[in-house]
Amino acid sequence: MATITKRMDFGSGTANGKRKLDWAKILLWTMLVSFPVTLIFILLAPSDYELKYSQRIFYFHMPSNILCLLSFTIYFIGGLGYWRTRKRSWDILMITGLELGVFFSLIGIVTGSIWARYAWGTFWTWDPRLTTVTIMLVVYLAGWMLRSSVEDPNRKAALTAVFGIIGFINVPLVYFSTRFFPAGLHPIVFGTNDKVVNLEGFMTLTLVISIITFSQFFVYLMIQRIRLENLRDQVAGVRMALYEDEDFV
Amino acid sequence: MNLNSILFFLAQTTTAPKPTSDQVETGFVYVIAAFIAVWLLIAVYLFWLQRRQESLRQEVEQLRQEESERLAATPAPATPQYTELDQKLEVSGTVQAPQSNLRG
Repeated sequence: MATITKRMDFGSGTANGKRKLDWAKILLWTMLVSFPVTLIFILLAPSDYELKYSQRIFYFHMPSNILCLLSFTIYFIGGLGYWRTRKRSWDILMITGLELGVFFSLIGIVTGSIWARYAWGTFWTWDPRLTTVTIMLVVYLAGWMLRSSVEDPNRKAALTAVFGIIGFINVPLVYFSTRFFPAGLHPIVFGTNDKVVNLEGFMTLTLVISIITFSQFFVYLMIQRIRLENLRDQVAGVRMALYEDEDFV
Repeated sequence: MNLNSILFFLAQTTTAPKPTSDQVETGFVYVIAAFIAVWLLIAVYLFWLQRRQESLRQEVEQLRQEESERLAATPAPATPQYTELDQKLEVSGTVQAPQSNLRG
């Protein structure tokens, strides 16, 4: 049976008789340590003067939003790669970035809404950051739905690439929305001027640990998502071989 | 007994302590709510991913089994019996060298 494309592999089997490292399993084991450690740091971190205990939501909220933007950037890179080469591996990268981007943006929106209920007294407000995030999510969800509705794999991948490239306009817009519209409710976290939120030392350490842990989880999910697409290719390959045999019989 | 009355009955019998006003004021309840929401989303996504992988694995297995059954059912094609060329029977009497292609 001929393989359709060269598959992205993360060591879920054997090569030349030698057992390969399974990165997903390694990450899973390290996460069993890093998640409780992060939780301990979050509990030990000092509370904010105004936001009190609720400020701890920030340690889930911010890493998920960073990873959401990273996922959509991966989707954009996949889109450019596919547009240039038309290779299936770029298509796999695109769908992985798209799905994980939507997943992490949902985490960001849900945690943000809960935090906003305490901090601003409402679950939702049309703050520039929230508005741009909503537009971004709607655009990507529309792209995903369109992808699901197309049967032809080449057309499907080409449409996804178009959405990935055009939809990427939203990503810098979301990131810079707090700078472009300073009247909004969201503070600027990264920067050097006086408007930037200054985190206390232990808070910064907790944030860094949280970002590392969430990134581990992100890589784990990426591997699993890519494996899912590889399985899809395997199904298509076996089916093709079966039908070829049928033609010859 | 409708759903509302069941839910009301469950709410009456529940022993979970209500959050104190201090816990609400300091935002502790919101941290717990956000934490539960994150873990719920993660669990749902992992379950969905796992289910899709499992169904594809089963499909691969099923197709492979189908393929092997088909191969076992069809008779193997008869291999042609080649015999060595007897040089004595050659008309020219000399063994011909392999011809190059038409373009030389």
